[in-house]
Parts: sequence; C-alpha cells; structure tokens
Amino acid sequence: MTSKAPVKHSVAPPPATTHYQGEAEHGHDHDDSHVLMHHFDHMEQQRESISLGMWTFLWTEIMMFSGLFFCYALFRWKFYDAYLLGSQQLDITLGTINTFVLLASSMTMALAVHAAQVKNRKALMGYMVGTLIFGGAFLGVKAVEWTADYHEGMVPTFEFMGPRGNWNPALWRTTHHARTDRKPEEATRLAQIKPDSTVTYDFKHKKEVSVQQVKMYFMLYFCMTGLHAIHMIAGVAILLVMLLMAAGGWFTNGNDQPVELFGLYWHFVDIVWVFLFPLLYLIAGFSMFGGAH
Amino acid sequence: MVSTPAEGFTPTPRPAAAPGDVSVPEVVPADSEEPKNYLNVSYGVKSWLFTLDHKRIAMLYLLTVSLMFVVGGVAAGMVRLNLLQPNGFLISAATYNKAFSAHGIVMVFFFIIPAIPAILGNFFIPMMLGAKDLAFPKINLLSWYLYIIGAVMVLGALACGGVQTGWTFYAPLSSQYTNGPIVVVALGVFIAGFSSILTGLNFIVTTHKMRAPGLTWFRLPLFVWGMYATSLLQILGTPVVAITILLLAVEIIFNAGVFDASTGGDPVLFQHLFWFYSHPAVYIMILPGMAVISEVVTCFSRKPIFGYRFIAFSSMAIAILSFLVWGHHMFTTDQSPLSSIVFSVISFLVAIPSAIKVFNWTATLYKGSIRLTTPMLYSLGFIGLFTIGGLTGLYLSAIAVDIHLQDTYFVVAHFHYVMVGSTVMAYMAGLHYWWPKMVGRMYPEGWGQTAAVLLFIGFTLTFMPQFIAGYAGMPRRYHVYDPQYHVMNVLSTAGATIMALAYLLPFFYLTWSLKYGPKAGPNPWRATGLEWQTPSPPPTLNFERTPVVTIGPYAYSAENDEIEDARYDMERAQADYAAAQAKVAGDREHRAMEEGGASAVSQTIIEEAKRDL
Amino acid sequence: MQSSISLIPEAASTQAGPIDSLFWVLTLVTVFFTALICVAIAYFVVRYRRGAKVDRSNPPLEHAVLELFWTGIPLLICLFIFGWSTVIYYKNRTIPTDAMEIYVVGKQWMWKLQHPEGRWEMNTLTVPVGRPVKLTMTSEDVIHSFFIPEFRVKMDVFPGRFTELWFNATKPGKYHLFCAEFCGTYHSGMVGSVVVLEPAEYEKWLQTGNVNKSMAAKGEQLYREHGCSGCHGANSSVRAPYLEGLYNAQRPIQIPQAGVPLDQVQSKVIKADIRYIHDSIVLPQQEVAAGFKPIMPSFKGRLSEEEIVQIIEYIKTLRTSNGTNNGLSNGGIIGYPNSGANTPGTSNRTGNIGADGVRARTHINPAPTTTLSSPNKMSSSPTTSAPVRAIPPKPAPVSVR
Repeated sequence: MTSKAPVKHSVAPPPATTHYQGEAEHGHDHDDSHVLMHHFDHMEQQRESISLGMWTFLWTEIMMFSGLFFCYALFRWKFYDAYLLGSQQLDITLGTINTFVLLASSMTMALAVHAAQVKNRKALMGYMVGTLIFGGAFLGVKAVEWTADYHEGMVPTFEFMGPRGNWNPALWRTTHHARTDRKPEEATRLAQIKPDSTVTYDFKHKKEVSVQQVKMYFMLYFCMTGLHAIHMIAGVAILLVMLLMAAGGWFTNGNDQPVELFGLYWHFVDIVWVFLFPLLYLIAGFSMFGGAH
Repeated sequence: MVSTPAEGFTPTPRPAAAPGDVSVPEVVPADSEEPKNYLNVSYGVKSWLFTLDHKRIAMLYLLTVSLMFVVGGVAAGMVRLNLLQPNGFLISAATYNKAFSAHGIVMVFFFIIPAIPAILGNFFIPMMLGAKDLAFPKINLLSWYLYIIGAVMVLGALACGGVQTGWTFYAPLSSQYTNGPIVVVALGVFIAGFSSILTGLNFIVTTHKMRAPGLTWFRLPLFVWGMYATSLLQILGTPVVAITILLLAVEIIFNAGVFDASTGGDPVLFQHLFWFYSHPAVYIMILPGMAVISEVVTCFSRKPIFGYRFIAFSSMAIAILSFLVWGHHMFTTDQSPLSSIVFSVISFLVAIPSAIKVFNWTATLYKGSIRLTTPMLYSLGFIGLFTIGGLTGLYLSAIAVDIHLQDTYFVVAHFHYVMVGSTVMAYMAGLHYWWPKMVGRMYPEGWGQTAAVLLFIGFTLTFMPQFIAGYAGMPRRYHVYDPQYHVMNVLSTAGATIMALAYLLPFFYLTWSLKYGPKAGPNPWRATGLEWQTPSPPPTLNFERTPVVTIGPYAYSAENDEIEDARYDMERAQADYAAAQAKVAGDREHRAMEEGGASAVSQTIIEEAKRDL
Repeated sequence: MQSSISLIPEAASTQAGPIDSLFWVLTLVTVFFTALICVAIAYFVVRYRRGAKVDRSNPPLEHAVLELFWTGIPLLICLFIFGWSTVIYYKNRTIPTDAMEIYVVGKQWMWKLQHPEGRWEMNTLTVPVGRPVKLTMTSEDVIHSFFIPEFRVKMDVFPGRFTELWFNATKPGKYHLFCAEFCGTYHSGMVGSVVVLEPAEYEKWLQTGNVNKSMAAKGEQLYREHGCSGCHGANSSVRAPYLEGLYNAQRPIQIPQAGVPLDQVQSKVIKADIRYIHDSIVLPQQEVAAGFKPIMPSFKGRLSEEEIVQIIEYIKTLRTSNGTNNGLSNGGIIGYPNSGANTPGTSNRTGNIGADGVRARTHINPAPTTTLSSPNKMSSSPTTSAPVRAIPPKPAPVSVR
C-alpha cells in the first residue's frame, strides 16, 4: 500500500492535501482596510484582479464591436457605392472636430491617471473636469450632427411610426449641393426619388446606387455611432460620480486604481472612435467640406 | 481525507459505497448551538436578494434555473405529446412551433448555459481555489439580476403569444415573416447573454488571481480547467451573438435590410454571425459537463485521474477549435465548397480532444475501487452517452452525409445526446455529488440511483429512435409528419415520459432532503478537493484560514481505501458481534431472573456468559 | 405507407449509394467505439468494484504512448472519413452538363415546379428515370430547403439568389419531398412527392394534363409586357446590350467603382449564367455590361421570382442564327475587339475595356457567328451584312442597320 506513483499525484500521506497558514487572514485592521475588500487576501491581489477584470471586459467589448465591424466590412465590400454616397452625406468637419475633441479627452484622462498616482488632488480634479468637458463636447457635437442628419432625411424610418419618417433622399447633402451648384435638373430628379424604393440614384460619375443600400449604410452608421455614444454616455456618467468622489479625496490616498481603470475604458472608447471615423466618414477620402473629389 | 489505517481509526461516517451498502452517515444529534454557515448566518428575503456571497448567489441560480428547466420541460412535453400521432392531434401548428421555440430558447439560453457554470461553478470555483469569494461579488450578483431580467422578458413574451422562430431566429423568417414579440425575446436573450459574460469574466479573474498559496495551474482540479475554458468561450463568443441579436432587433424595428435579400442584404450573414457564437456555445454547454465528470469519476474510483495534463489541454484545444467550425451548420447553403471542406476537416479535428477525454476517464476506472453511487451512475451514463453523441457528430462533419442529415431528426438526436445525455447527466452528477456540501445534508441514495438509471433508460429510449427517424428522412420541427415515422415517434414519446419521471424524482427527494436528509458532515465522500476541507454547509468566507496547497488535486488511493474499508468492515463486524453477545447474555440473565431462583445453575449460566464477554 | 420500421430509406438515386456506404462505415465506427467504451466501463466496474479482491497496486497515472495511441488512431480514422466524404461530396456536387433543367420556386408553404416545356406542378415533381435532372431553385419569401430523402439530396432555397441541386433517379416510384428548413407556421405542410417515371411515360406525361404555354412563351409575353424589348430589341433607340446568345456566354462586365468614371473601370469577364441574368434584372447596377451605361431600372418587386425565371427561360431561347445559344460554338468570349488577347473559355479574366476599347468596339461591324470557327478570327471576320442580329455588344446607336 505504499504508493510508487509520482509525487505530484501521490496518495496523501497524512498530513493531508493542505495545512493551514498560521495566521488568520480576515479582520483586517491595517490602515488600508477601507480599500481592501473582504474577500481578497492582500492589496496586490485585489489590484491585479481588478485590473485583469477590466482587461477581460474590454475584450468582450472588442468582440461586441467586431460583430458590427464585420457587417460593415461585408456590406462595404458588396455596396461600395452606397457606402460612398452615404458617407458623403455626413459632416466631415464635425466628425474631424469630434475626433480631435476625443483625442484631447484621452490626453486629459491620461494626465488625470498620472495626477492620481502622484496624489495630486487638485490636478486630478482639473483633468477630470477637462475630460468631462471634452467628453460632453463630443456628445454635444454628436447630438448636433444627429439632429442635422434627422433634418436632412438620413434617419431610416421607424416602422412603428408609420410610413412618414425622416428618410428622404431629396434632402440629402448631395442633393443640396446639386441644387446650389445650379444643376436644377439633377436636383429636381434627385428630389423626386421615392424614399423607400430600390430605384437607382444617379450620382457623380454616373454611378447608380440603390437607396435601400444607402439606408443599410445609415443603419450601420447609427448602430455603430449609437453604440459608441452609449459607451460615451456611460463613461461621462461614471466620470461625474468619480469627480465627486475625487473631490472627497478618494483617489489621491493611494487608491488610484479606479482612475486607472476608468482611463482604460475611456481610451478604449476613444480607440473605437478612431476606427469609426475613417470607416464611416472618410470613405471618399478627406475633404473638409464634404463630397467626393 | 485519506488517513492511514495505522492508528486511532474510528468508524467515521461512511460514504455510500456499493449499491447494496448505501449506508447513510449517522445522524449527528442536532447541536443546540449550530455553527454559523452561509445558510444560517442571516435570514430573510433581503439577506438573499442582496447577498454578495457566491454560495448564496449559486443557490439563487439553482432556484431560478430549475424553474426555467420546468418551463422548458413543459414545452418539450407538449412537443413530444403532439408527436405521438402523425396528424398533430393535440395542438395547432402555430402552438407547436411556439412550443418548440420556447423549449429551445429557454433550455439553451436559460438552462444549459447557466446550469453548471452559474450554479456549481459559482459555488465551487472559489472553494476549489481556496478563495473567500469570486473576484467580483457585486458583478456576480448583477449577473444573476441580468439573468432574471432576461428570463422575465422571455417568459413574458412567451406568455403573451410566443414566437415561431426556433431558438436560432433565422432571418428573414424572424425579421419579416412572423409576428410575435420577437424583439422582446431577442432582447431577453441579449441581456441573459451579459449575465453569462459577467460570470465568465469573474471566473477567469478568480482563477488567475485568487488561487491559494501553492495552488499552481497544474494542481488545479480539472473542474476549474474546464470552467476556465468555458469562460474563455463565454467572454469571446457571447458578445458576438449579443450584437447579432441586437442587429436582428434593429432589423425588425427599423426594417434595416441587413439580412433582407430584397435590398441586397444577406440572410446567410445572420447564420454566420449566429453560429460564430452558437457553435462555441455548444462547447459552453459541454465543457462544464466534462469538468464535473473529471471530479466525480476520480472520487468514486478512489483514484487520481488518468492523464491529467491531456484532459486539461484537451479542454483548451476544444475551446480554441470550437471557434473555427461554425460553418458546418451551413453545408447545405451555397457556402463555397472550399470553406465547407475546411470547416469539415476542423470539425473532425475537434472530435479528437473529446475522444482523449473519454479514453482517459475510462482508463481512470482501471485499478480503482469503484462505488456506484448516484453521481457515479450519472457519470458513467455520461461517458456512454457522450461517446455516442460525439461519434454521431462525425456523421455531421462529413459533408456528404451531412447533406442528407442536415435539419433532420438525426441532428436533433445528436445534439440532445451531447446536451441532455451528456451535459444534463453531468449536471445531475455534480448536483448530487456536491449536494451534501451545498446544503449540509445527504440526499436519499436509493432514490438517487433509481432516478439515475431511469434517466439513462428514458433518454436512450427517447433519442435513439430519433437517429433512425432522422436517417430515414424525418425533418425536424414538423408539426405533422409522414406516418412512416410513427413507430419511432411513439417510442420517443414513451422514453420522454420516463425521462420526465426521472427528472421529477430529484425535485422531490432533494427538496425532502433539505429538511429530513441525514447530516452530511464536512466530507461524506472522503474526497480530496479543497472544497471538502471545510464544514458543510461552508461558512460565509469558506475557510477558517486560507489553505496552503502542497500537492495535486486527486490524492486518492484505491489500495488504501480498500484496506480502510476492510478495516472498517472488520471493526463494524466486531462491534456487531459484541453487541449480539451482550444481547444474548442479557437475555440469559433476564431469563434467570424470571425463573426467580438464584439457583446455582442460573448463577453458573450468568457467570459463563460473563466469561464469554 | 412504406414499411413502418425501415432503418434506412430506399436508395433511389445515383448519389445515394456512396452516401449509404459512408453511412454504414460511420455506423460501424460508432458502434465499435461505443461498444469498446461500454465494455471497458462494465468490465472495470465489475472487476474493480469496491471490495473486490484484485490487485490495485501501482495504478498508472500517465502514459504518453497510450495517449498518443488513442489520439492517433481516432485522428487517422477521422482523416480517412473526411477524405472519403469530401471525395463523395465533390462527385455529388458536380452537375452533369446534359442535365435537364427544372425550376423550383419555394414560397410559404408550397413548392412550385416548372418544366421548361410548359408543364407546371404544385408540390409534386415528376421526372424521368435515369436522366440527370438539375433543379434551379429560388424562394419568394424565407429560406426553405429542398429535401428528397430517398435521393439523399438537400439544398437550401434562398430568397434573392439561385441554388442548384441535381440528381439522377434510378428507380421509378414515388418518393418524399420535404422542406427541411423551418419556414413558418405550416412548415410541416410544405411537403410533396417526387414521381419518377419511365422516360416514355414521362414524355407522355409532359403532353397531358395542365399544359400551359411553355415557360419560354410565358417569358416572351412578360418580356414584351414589361418593356424589355423596348430597349433590348433590335430597333430600339436606347443603347442596351442584345440578349441573343447571352446565356452561358462569357461576357465582359464592369463593376462600378468609387471615384472612377465607369468607362475607365477595369472590366471583368464572367459567365452569363442564370445568376447573372437574374441579378441583372433585379439589381442592374451591380454588374454592368462593359461599355454600356448603367441606365436599366430594377425590376425588383415588379416581377415575381416565378416570372423572372420565365423570362430567363425565354432569354435562353434567344439564339443566334446558327442555332448555338451562345453565339460562339465553343463558348468563347464575346465582345472583345482585341480577341487575340483573350483566349476563349477562360473566366474571370480581366481586361482593360478603356475608352479605347469602347471606341474600338464601335468600329467593329457585327459578324455573323456562322462564319466564325474561332474567336481569333473575330476581328478579321467578314463584315457582310448579317441576316440575323449580331452578337453583342450592340453597336452604338449611330450605326444604322
């Protein structure tokens, strides 16, 4: 009955598989007890766990956006012209401004993380306010953009709202340009296109585009920017709470990890936009005043 | 715990050993001051609904998942009863479609996917790791609430009309050609998906960061390995189906046309996105089952697992390969032949790690000391049924044969062999195995064994005929069918009746055992995992002190156990013998007293008796 | 009702045999391994049951050779079955060139089958024995799946695209026809039968019953009614491609690209199969015949799938004078002025149909294909006035004929 098995799996000689550490672990009476949660053994474990949790969460976020990016890629490959036409209805100026606003917010966020690490409460709060302002500005610009999209007939119809919606190619930017470029025939022709038909849409260089396919572009545009904006709104809300907490000195007492984690999230949301912007706005190339060249 | 038979052996409460010898542990007289455990530490609804204890959350899951199982089971019962006759005599076509859709949606998203991870995983992963809780207790509770919200939405939608889409929601049928609260169901599934993601996230972080001192990766129980692989699939696959389902909802609400061929959209795109998640989801369902079996087989063979590393790595291989096989659900679409062939060969390859596991479990039995307890019966049933389920998968990986079998009852039988015959068997095995730890009381062993055998018989009778009906060409999801398939369907429904009984039994006897079951003691199975090193039910923080691990997870020795058993039997025989003799002596004395005389004869008898003692 | 318990269905097509063989081998493998595992479990459980007096010393815990053995053997078996299955799959999906063609339109919840000769059927498919039959299938609404268990064939049927399925029935008789993909409330009612007749009976059958106008005749009527002939006809003033000899010919097309004027887009040669013709009707801007303007409107929603296949059937009958239906007897590339650079019979060839090319084409007088023995002679072929309409591309409207 003596076992000759490898030690790793060996039959336990009594003392069993485990013995106990001499010291009881809970009942933390250290000065960091308000930070160390009850189920972690020590600060480092808690820190690493939370950090890994955040990274894992970001992976799931990447996978979620990747589903949309896949749809985008497939239909861009299939209906390039519709995408081109759709992207030219967007306001590249506002999109560019928003890109820089968001990049700036990432910078202030990175500075905020640093401020938390060096326990500078005032700087931390300042940079957080900066990030908030930039994040809010992004959302504001986005709201302005979407309102314009609505008025320019780019929002696909809600089915439950009945046939009347705000999907009207006659109002599109391209149509508008045709009008202002004194091409009345084209403008008239464009204005007569039925909003929901699959009839073709004559565009520069005589490309023909199905309105339905442009609609699919806008569907994906609103899904992608919408999902991104939801993440932004969540970020701004969390940041507001964190700002209040920072005012109470929560993150400058050595507990800078929440700021760091939020920074990760914020940068992730920023990076998503960095992909969204060229994919959605710049299909026709970059031109400050819209339209292809 | 394995103790040496050398000294100080007292007949401690014994595990159920052989079918004939299902001894229950002695009932410990209830202490007036019961030690605090996670169940009695606080009372009241609030203490449960706002608990952050992973064990309590696991019990919440147990309750709700069981309820969903009943709902899905009732739907399955309607389907099977209706198929008793070829003419759809019981319910209308629409009701039938709603019933099988409800069955699929509820069972897949609300029963099988959460069953083992959210109940057994939630309860035992921290304990197996020697941790006090999962890394993120609040997120753990949040995931349960998400599950509840999703479940309520789906159940509400099913109650207000139901959907006729199947659990696969194929567009354009779901997006344009059926009515019903599909959006609500889709969003319910979407939300439940996040519950699954958060559970996976919690497990990954806990496994990485909260292992007890000395608990290296290769000292982890295989249950943890299996759950880790499952969690990877959950966090990488589930977001994709979430966004797919969201797109489906957008398609329905806004008429977006992404999956609509008439506007240039692509209905097959939905299938690709859907199966990109849902094929890995099949492994989200089976990997936890495999994880449980590795624990149970070792414990009741009293032997370390054979080929630990091969089993651990095969879980990871399955997790990785499972992301590359989704196209085998689309062999009969106009998918390009080349991609079909690639998907086919990878589908064959994914069978190999599963085969390795089956061989290793079987080899574990060799030179063991096997006890056919309820969990062991379920586990052996699992190995047999999973072998069939896995091998019939080969038919469906072979494109030529799959073209004939696609969307027939053969497919239905195949995935039920894997999901029900394997995963549910494993779930039942795990539930019985850990029941004493979870509630501190034993279930009635005889009833458990009866239910296990009944389930095996009922299952085989239900699904074996479906293989035959399938190859004969009976398509799935048929409300009425050709009378040619009648016999097979009658057999199948008969089997389903037995299965229903086999599922009802545990509901009753497990509930019974909560109050009347004998107390289990900390380690009724004398198992070696960390979770057994603490009282049953465990205290809120699981361990008195953080354990330090020095050896691997399966420190069993069949040889030692046999000797211990023999010794135990001997001691018990001795005790019995002594008791019998005492009784005889007492009787003689008594008789002598009755005879009234302190006669010399009776004196002699009494003295003789005393001498005998 | 056939025998109530049949382990496998009747095998009534040429594809069924190999699939059944593979099925039996797979069953053998399954039974063998299941038996192996079950017997091993039973043996171990009995032999090593608790209390049995057996040797339990030194249990093995790892055995690399054994692991490799039971990894390797299943792997070899799997690869063998994979190889075999793929060979069968490839053979089974190659459609014989002489297959007769039948159109299938699936809609909730029925099958409509049209024979080119004009007979149409609902939920019944009548075919001759011993002759390959190709089904060209599309759906009006959701995804269906055309499944004949006795033939071991199945193919999904999609809206908006064509899928093909073929079989060669070997036994006269009546077989099942099922919809295999869940398609809505009365999915299980979308069933029918396949009737296989002797060839002579089949010919007789074609002439009796509900003989309509042939599909092509119906298609011709639609062709006129919907104004197709207005642009694609001989006397049209609109510059549109001729459709004579279009079917199965290699045609250059241009896929519009962003920012590039269409006449500078690289062209691509494709085969003008039914997919192309169908898509040209419903999504005309996707692939534009090279050298033409994308001016054709979409007929999506104006023509049902059924009507579209009738028109396609009519277009197929539009032949050039010599009776070949693709203009060139060897199926070569049509429409290339510089045919020396383009060998016939190759597909997916790209060539620059630039402005020059288009201009060059206008110089070429249409050549009667009867005089062509090879496309290499195309540029030097006689420019006599052809008695029949020329192969496309249609000359620019300026060329008066």
